[in-house]
Amino acid sequence: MANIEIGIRDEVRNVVYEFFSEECEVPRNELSNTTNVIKDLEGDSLMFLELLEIFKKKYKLNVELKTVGKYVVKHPAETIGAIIDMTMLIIEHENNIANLD
Amino acid sequence: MPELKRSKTAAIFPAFGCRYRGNEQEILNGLSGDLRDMLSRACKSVDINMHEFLSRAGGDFKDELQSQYAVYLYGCAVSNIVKRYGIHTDYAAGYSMGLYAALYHAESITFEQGLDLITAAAAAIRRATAGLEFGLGVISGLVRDDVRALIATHHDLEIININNRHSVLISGYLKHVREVLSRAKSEGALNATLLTFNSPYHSRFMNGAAREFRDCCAGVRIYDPLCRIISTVDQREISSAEGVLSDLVDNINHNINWLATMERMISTGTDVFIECGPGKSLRNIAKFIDGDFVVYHLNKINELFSSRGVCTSADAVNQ
Repeated sequence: MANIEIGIRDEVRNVVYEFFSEECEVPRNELSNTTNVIKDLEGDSLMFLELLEIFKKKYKLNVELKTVGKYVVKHPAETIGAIIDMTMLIIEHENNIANLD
Repeated sequence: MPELKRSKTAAIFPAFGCRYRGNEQEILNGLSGDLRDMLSRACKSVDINMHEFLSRAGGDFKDELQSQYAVYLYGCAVSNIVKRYGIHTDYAAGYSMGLYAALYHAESITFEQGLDLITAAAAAIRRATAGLEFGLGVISGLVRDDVRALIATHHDLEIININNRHSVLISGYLKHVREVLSRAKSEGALNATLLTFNSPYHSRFMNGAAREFRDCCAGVRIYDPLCRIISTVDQREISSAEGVLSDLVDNINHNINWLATMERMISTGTDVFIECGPGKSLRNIAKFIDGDFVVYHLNKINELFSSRGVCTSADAVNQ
């Protein structure tokens, strides 16, 4: 399980905002935590997969995609804020995210 | 003396069903009159609806054949522009029916022949699937063995394409495809979606269509391609008219593997891919393909033209 250091949330937030700004060609200042990735940005699941790969590499996470997939089915994350929250949970719990309610 | 390694460039062509950005007509018309000219030529050759084409800039065509014509037109128009800018391509490959535009790019078939082949293939496929309900689905986030295990319960289901290390396409009877997609979600697939197409492309259900299509192709004058075509069926390099003919037919009823096709080109030193068509679907798929390369899509075409990394036709002649 990764050690959650102070400042990681800011780091995650930065990466997520930069990612969607670049991918969806939307200025960063037009994005907010309530921006819906699917409806507002026409994003897709491949974007989420890419983000997941970025964080897996960045924090050397031991997490299987299908474990995250099972969690996502129960807890869909469609807004940027929800994706940041979920990323924090993945960093904290890695494969144990499957055991969360 | 250190060996100088010239990087290679490939033109890749998407299929219908790719997501449009909506600004393709604007970009292409700003670069040249190719799209307008080709649309005009297409209207004389096949039953393409010009109004439908122009008004559906977002690619939301109601009719599958119109959608196929459209992606072919965009692909051919980009190909013309790429050539006009003097960019030499070592390879061309087409994702599914993107093959027709790839063959146009390689000057193996003419623009009108491509339209005729698309029309003939669509008719043969329609006849082969008449009266049966098929479906196509995309599954992302599961490993291939997991997907193989999921489809093993139904003999009609096949993995018809491997997009990249995270994403595959399956096809078969609609009710079975739906059932497997539902199970895939339960197994942890991040995406398991039924596509809007209703023909089992690249599957054995297309055997009859392939036979009929082969007969149509027999009357078509096919030329040796000017750049190598990489087969999405078996990843061989095609440099002859006979090879093109065989690949055209195989493309109808054989599983394809886009991941292996890209890997084949990357392994030969290709590090610049030009996505010739609407949207950036192939660029998005390529994000999950390993290698040191860049994919230029239509929105980034000006960056390509100002790039020093690509080889011009004059460079190619001098090497």
